[in-house]
Amino acid sequence: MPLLEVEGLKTHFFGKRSVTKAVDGVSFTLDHGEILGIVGESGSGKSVTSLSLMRLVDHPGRVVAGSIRFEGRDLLTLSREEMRKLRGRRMSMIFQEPGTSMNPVLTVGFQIGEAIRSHERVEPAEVRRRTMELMEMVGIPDAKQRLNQYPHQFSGGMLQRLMIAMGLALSPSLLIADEPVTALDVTIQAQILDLLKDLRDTTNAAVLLITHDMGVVAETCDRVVVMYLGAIVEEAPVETLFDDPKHPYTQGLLGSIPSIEEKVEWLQAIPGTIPNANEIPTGCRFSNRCPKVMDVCHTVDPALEFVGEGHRVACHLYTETEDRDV
Amino acid sequence: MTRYIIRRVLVGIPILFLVVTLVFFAFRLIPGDAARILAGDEAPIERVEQIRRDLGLDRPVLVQYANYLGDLFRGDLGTSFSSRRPVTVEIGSRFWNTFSLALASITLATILGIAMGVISALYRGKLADHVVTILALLGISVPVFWLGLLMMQLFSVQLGWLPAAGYGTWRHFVMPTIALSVFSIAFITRMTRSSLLETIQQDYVRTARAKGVVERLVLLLLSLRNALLPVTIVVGLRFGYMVGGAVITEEVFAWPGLGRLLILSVAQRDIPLVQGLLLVFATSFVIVNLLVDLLYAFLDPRIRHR
Repeated sequence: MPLLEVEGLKTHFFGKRSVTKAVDGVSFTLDHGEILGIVGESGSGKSVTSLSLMRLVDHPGRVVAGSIRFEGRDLLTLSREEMRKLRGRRMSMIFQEPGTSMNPVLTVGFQIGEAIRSHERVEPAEVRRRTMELMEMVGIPDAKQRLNQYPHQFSGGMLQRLMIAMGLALSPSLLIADEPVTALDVTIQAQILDLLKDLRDTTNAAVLLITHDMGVVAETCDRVVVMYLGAIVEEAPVETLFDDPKHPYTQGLLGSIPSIEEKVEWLQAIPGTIPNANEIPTGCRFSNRCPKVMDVCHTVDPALEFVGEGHRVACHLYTETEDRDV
Repeated sequence: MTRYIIRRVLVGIPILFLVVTLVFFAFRLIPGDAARILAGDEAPIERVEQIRRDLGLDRPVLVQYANYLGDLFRGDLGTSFSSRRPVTVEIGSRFWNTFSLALASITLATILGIAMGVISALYRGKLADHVVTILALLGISVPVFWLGLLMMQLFSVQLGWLPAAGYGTWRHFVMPTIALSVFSIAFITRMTRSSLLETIQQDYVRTARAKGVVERLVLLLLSLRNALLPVTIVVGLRFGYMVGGAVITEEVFAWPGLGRLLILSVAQRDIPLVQGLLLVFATSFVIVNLLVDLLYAFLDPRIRHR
């Protein structure tokens, strides 16, 4: 049984006049110790998906359909208190901006220890000892002194390490990382990604890595889910996705990365911009930007179907012709 | 931290000097002759001149200013024209009356204001929030003298529970304290509410929730510390005003404090006394601000380490 099984997840935001379908029927699974990447442009619903898993979507947003099976339990049926007990203990989350994601007026030691104190009754000295261990684990030197320092005394990379320490304080089986390196320098990015991979190897925690950066995906993930406008358009093991992308959107995403080997005159970019999530085109949601658009794309929303080993894609280019004869 | 304190104290000195100078010269510019007022309308011109010489008002303004500054450095604020007693004694005998009233009022305002602000933020958009918001609006708009008169009418005249005016027992404190604090209660309430609602949306609050910190109460207490940072400034400013600006409240309730003394001394053109009072007001304001800064630095490590 997979660690996490998301089925038909829909998270909508209810505005005064319109409903924004930020996540509109997303299904995927995640195994123990696996690193799954969710990629997409901003507005594709990847962050809302991760917040939905933690049940941290704020008003006016709400999960309206689907199930999230985690360690055998459907998270959407749990009470608030049961859910709280899971957060930080069995599943935790780190965020994009380490600088604003920590409380500026509390010491980092207090904030890491808070994760422990929220779930276990432990002596203060024991909390301190474990906090120091965690800080050393994520590679922060002089943990004993730095424990009593405040967030503004750390660099962005160090803060993200602290966030990871906080997330892993109680050895959760799932770590959700929402754009964990986007706000960091490239050299620091590599260090943080290496740290995530190392910790996956030692703790066997699964990692759900949300990013818009194909480079980060290539470097870190085992498997990738590509999201567009609140839905999954392609899913594949990482090598497959880079070698043989099927969906025109994925091809566009990969084509817009400059290559060192090939010299190209024009960088291939996806035409247009991602529409608002409350203006999803009928039929295929990518139809208004797709370079290979067909008549059927404007009327029928393609289902996610297997095209190879662990490789699924939602595109009419790969569906059997029987649909089109009608 | 020590350097921070020293720097803040040093900044206060030029401010006070500026206040002393401005007040001194402002009083030489406004119309009204102290000697004439003291002598009385009927007094002959020789008598007026005599008084003017006694008070030293016949000398050039700059000489008066130099003498005044010299006295000030020796801790001598001069002698009141009207009572002939040292200004320090006049002010000293009433300072505590004003200060205790201000202290009672700011304590009440802080406790009630924060409590109401928290309730308002917790029940945002619900009935409790609307009730608190309307009360706060009333509190900000109601004139102190009118509120004072209403309370007197109700609690002193009709019910006979509280003395209408004067100074003495704790009963005398009740109405002036309420009158003086109503505006501040309302102001602190609104400030706490908006600050708290803003804080709750911060990324670090989401982080705390993602850690599984117990919702609602602990979350509120954790973010309250951050949210109260801007509130401390308001509390400090209001307290500064209360020490110096309780003029109307003191007048309404015949409270023997500095505010009433100010009105009296201005009416009599008692220049040394007015100057002394304004200096005391300015100094308390500077001190209160210094305390607020220190408290802020204590609460917010980012300032402490600058």
